[in-house]
Amino acid sequence: MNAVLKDTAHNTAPLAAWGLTHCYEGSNVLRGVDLALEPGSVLGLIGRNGAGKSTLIRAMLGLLQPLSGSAFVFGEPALKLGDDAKARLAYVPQQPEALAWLTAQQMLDFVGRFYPRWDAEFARRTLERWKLQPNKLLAKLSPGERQRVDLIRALASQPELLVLDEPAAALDPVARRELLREVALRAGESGTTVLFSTHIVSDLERVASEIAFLHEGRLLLRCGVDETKERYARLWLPASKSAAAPAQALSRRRHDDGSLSLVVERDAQGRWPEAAGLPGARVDALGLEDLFVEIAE
Amino acid sequence: MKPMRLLALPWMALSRPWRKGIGICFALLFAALVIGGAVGRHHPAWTTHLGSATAFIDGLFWAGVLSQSLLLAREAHHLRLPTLGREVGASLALYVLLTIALPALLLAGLGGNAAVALTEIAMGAALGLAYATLPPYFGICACFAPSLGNHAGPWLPMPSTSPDRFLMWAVPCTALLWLLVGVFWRSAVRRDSGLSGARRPIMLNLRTLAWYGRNRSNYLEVQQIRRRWQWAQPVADLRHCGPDHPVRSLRIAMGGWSMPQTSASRWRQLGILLASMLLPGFVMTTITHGDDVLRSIFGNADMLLFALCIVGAVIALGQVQTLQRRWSRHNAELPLLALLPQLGDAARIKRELLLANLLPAFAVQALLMLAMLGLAAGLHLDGDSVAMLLLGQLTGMGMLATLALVMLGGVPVRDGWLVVLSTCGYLLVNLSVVLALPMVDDTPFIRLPAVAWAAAIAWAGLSVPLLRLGVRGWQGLQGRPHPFLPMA
Amino acid sequence: MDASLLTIQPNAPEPIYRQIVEQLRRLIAGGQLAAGELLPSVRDVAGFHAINPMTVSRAYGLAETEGLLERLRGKGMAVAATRRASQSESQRLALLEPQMLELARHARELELPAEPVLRRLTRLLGD
Repeated sequence: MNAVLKDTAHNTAPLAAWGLTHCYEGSNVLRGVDLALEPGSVLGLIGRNGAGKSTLIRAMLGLLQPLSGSAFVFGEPALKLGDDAKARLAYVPQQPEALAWLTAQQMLDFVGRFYPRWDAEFARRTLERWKLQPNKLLAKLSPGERQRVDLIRALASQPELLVLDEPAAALDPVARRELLREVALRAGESGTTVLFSTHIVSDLERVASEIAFLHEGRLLLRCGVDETKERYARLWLPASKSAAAPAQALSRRRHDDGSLSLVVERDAQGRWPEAAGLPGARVDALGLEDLFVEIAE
Repeated sequence: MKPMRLLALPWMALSRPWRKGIGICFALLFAALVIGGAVGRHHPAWTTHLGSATAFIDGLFWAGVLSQSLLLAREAHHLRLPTLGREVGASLALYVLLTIALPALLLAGLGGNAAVALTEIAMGAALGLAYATLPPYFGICACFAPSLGNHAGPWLPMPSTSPDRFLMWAVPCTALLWLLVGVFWRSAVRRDSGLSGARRPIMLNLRTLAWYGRNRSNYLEVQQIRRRWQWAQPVADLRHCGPDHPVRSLRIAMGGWSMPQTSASRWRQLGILLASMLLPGFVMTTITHGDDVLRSIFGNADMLLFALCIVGAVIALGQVQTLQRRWSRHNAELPLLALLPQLGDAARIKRELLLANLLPAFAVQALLMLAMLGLAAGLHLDGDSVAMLLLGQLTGMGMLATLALVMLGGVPVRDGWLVVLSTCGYLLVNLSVVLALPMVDDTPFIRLPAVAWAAAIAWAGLSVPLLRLGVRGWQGLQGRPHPFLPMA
Repeated sequence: MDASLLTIQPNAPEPIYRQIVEQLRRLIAGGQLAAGELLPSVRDVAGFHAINPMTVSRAYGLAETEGLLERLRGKGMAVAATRRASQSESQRLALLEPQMLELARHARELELPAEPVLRRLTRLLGD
């Protein structure tokens, strides 16, 4: 990407990162990740456990110093955010554990004083709706309850950029659906930009407008959800035709009987590779989950 | 079932370094027992003392090593391995023969009272096992047992004083203890993880703790909050918190004892602290002296001086531990604070963070210092001694400031090195009282030239690495884009 | 119409916006949605199914360009007035074409002759 483009993307993107590299104990977790979010988009970051999702998010928000590369939040360097950028941003870490010595109510009250657009009424209502006891110490809540309190904390600040790391992991299906609803409506109505990481693909398919596949520290794919479903498919070729397989494929797997499975992409005119027209060849539409499994395996 | 395998079985549940360490410890203890026995064999009651010593070592052995069999038995039950379950039982039986019956027989052969030796050693082993496998509150009682033996002599018949009357209470007690251990053992093996923390044997709690690795300290803190009774919980005082009061807000966010609390909660915490400090002293003094308990606790200015000194050092170390806890987790306070608006620019936050972490501790230490000065005046200590006392407290403050800078500045220091440094600091702070008090011949140690030189060298030896670390921490903190980056 | 009339399968290979358009097409062709009937707002659909409102907007937009829906000023989306309550038989039959093709393919794979398949189909259709 040339410098001019990069510059404009800095200033408009709520969240952007260039060439992020990081390693823990000698092994690379991130290997040069570029990622920018457009205002109002809902980006689902997907990847296997240990693919580096949390590290990427934390590096993008300036919560760790990456080995190289830079990250920007609302155009400001992530490691040196000003009050304005901080007030427009909310982040919920994976398994939040902050302020265990306060009650849910105290925590929301305490944090709320720092946010200019804090919606105390929303916090109170949602605590009630999600059946969380406001006077219980956070340490005494279950991981799922704790995550819900932290989600309320994040949503009540009415952020323009909402970053959720594995928000659904500790939630039961009902709570998860409620959260997705809240996220979807905020994105659609208030134009909130959302970045969330998950390994539960169906959540992503509901609310995300875009997905990014992170695999072994690299972004493998970045695409709109609908486009991804329409653009990629699995091409199966019998053994006799496997020599005609297209050279370009996202993944390629040979089966025991010599037949071949490939993940292929439509060209600019919307056509499948030529091999798809061979007798015996089969093109299967892929859900995101299948695509994820095919690519990440 | 080979005997060697049965003997090795409990050791197999220990990790390799632990196995080695514990093995060496018991080898040394055993050697000490044999040597001690050989040296003291002309003492008239040497078999009795040998019996007590064996009981003590047996207690440690059953607590440290044979309690591991509980883990094996649990695993055998959960994994449906009946052979392993039977082997565990056989191995325990073998150890009963080897560590209880055999020593008792040997002692009888050496001319001791076989029944007394057997009872005493069996009781020691049962207490050890009870400590590890009974719920913690029983375990704490087991901890007191050895000192009870020392202090309860006047009213409880002991083997050395009246062996027959000792048997009268010890045999039923030992039998009851083994029965209790058996019942709890069975339920711990059969029950799943259903046991709540306070009712789980210490053994199993330690195992859980090992899973948390470096995060252990945080886990313990949360467990402590969870288990405390509602009335004993510190209640945060959120008045005067917010963007206009950053230091106070940061103190809320740091938690721990220095968090702003409502005055009712503050008094309650102080009461709990005093009670928990005084109660053991009270119990022990009652047992030993019987009368004039309060005078023996409060009438002793030397002891009070010591206590104040220890409190000061503990506060410093406690605050460092709090910092270490906060800066070791990346999913808790750090991201929240790093992204919290209206705390000010990075330079201001760093300043405020230092204040929030150091001020409360310094304030308490200053109060302690005043109290110590008052006591020193009461004891008519001379200038050198007072200077020594002040130096001790200042060392504590310096240690706190240095270690706080190390944490906040992200200085990469090995955990082991920090432990060594804080232990040395803690010992030096306590040493300052010893040196300052006129223990012998009305002359404080510090007046002796050799001691003064040694003390000077010790303090210099501590302050050089402290200063170096402090400077590195300060530079590290100044160099960081913001202070809420977790430790590497 | 209520948002619950639509069914969404997020993990189907077909994008959600296409699922919505397809169902609208069917509901209108089958006469379950009459001309002029108001559709649930984008917010209602998105909220009920916990999906991204942009996806619903996209579906409505596509249906509008296809002439299935029309935008009523101040009221939202409604079934286009030009759509007759029920379409001609051939039009409705055309909607079944994908399923028919699928059925035919399966029948060939199982090497079934046309006659028993048709007999079974006739029984299923209730004659």
